[in-house]
Amino acid sequence: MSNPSILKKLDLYLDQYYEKSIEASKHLRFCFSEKVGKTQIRNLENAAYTAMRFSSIINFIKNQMGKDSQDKPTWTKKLASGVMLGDYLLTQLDEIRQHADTLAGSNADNSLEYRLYLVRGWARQVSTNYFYLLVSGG
Amino acid sequence: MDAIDNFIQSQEFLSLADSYLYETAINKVDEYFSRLETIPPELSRPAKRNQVKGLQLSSRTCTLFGLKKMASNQLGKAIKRLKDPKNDKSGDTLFWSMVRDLIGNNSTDQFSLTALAKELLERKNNFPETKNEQQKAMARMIEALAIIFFEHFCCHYYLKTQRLPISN
Repeated sequence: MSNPSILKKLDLYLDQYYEKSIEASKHLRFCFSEKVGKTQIRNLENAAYTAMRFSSIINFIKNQMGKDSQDKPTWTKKLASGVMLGDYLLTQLDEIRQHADTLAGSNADNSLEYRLYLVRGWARQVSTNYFYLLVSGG
Repeated sequence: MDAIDNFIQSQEFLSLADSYLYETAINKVDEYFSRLETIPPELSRPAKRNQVKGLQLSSRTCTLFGLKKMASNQLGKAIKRLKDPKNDKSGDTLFWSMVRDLIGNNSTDQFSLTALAKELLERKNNFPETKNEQQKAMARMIEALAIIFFEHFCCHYYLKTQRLPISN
């Protein structure tokens, strides 16, 4: 990321998005047992860090949702709003994607770079707070 | 072949994978589930997830020829499973005929990985001169597209089946 003004805009957006990331981590805490949650959230974080494409993270969530059993749902567990956890996260990712695309304009290369920067920041916020919730009993 | 490998690793290719291929794969899965609603309910069960998993794995490991062969074999088996000669369509036959067409069909106005690979090679002036080299380049490009396309396709399929009232 070579352009400092864009970097600032992306970081500012991540700061503004922080409250939503915290909400996501609370939902993850609600849907996963401690043991399973630790692994799943680390896997999500790893998927975000190693992804070459933004869609890899979306596919990771869809794949996990597809694997869920109906007896013990986790990624497909319904939140108080009636929305499945996975769908809730996919909506957040869509917001992030749209913001990255708006900043990039018609430059597809920049769009990919901004998407990945934002999704990694988002994953960091979500997982950090998730693990904080675990130790703080939240 | 180096030029093709460089293109496959380029930002341009990754962007294509993230946008056009992603949207097309999702639309194809959604179209499939819409088409299921047009056939008799007793035949409209979507293809099983383990078959779709097989497709995803094959797209990662098989050659273009192997992938085509797999789709044709699965379609043949699905047709044999049809018991009523009046009904020539089921969830399985629709699925595998769609997959076969997605890899390569003769229609120029329909999306296929073969048509897209050809277009990309021509656009990038990467089309080799000899027929043998052309075939190798096409196969390399289609295989690269297929891995990503079917990742999008299969993951969206898993999600769609999870949302069905009774998932299979």
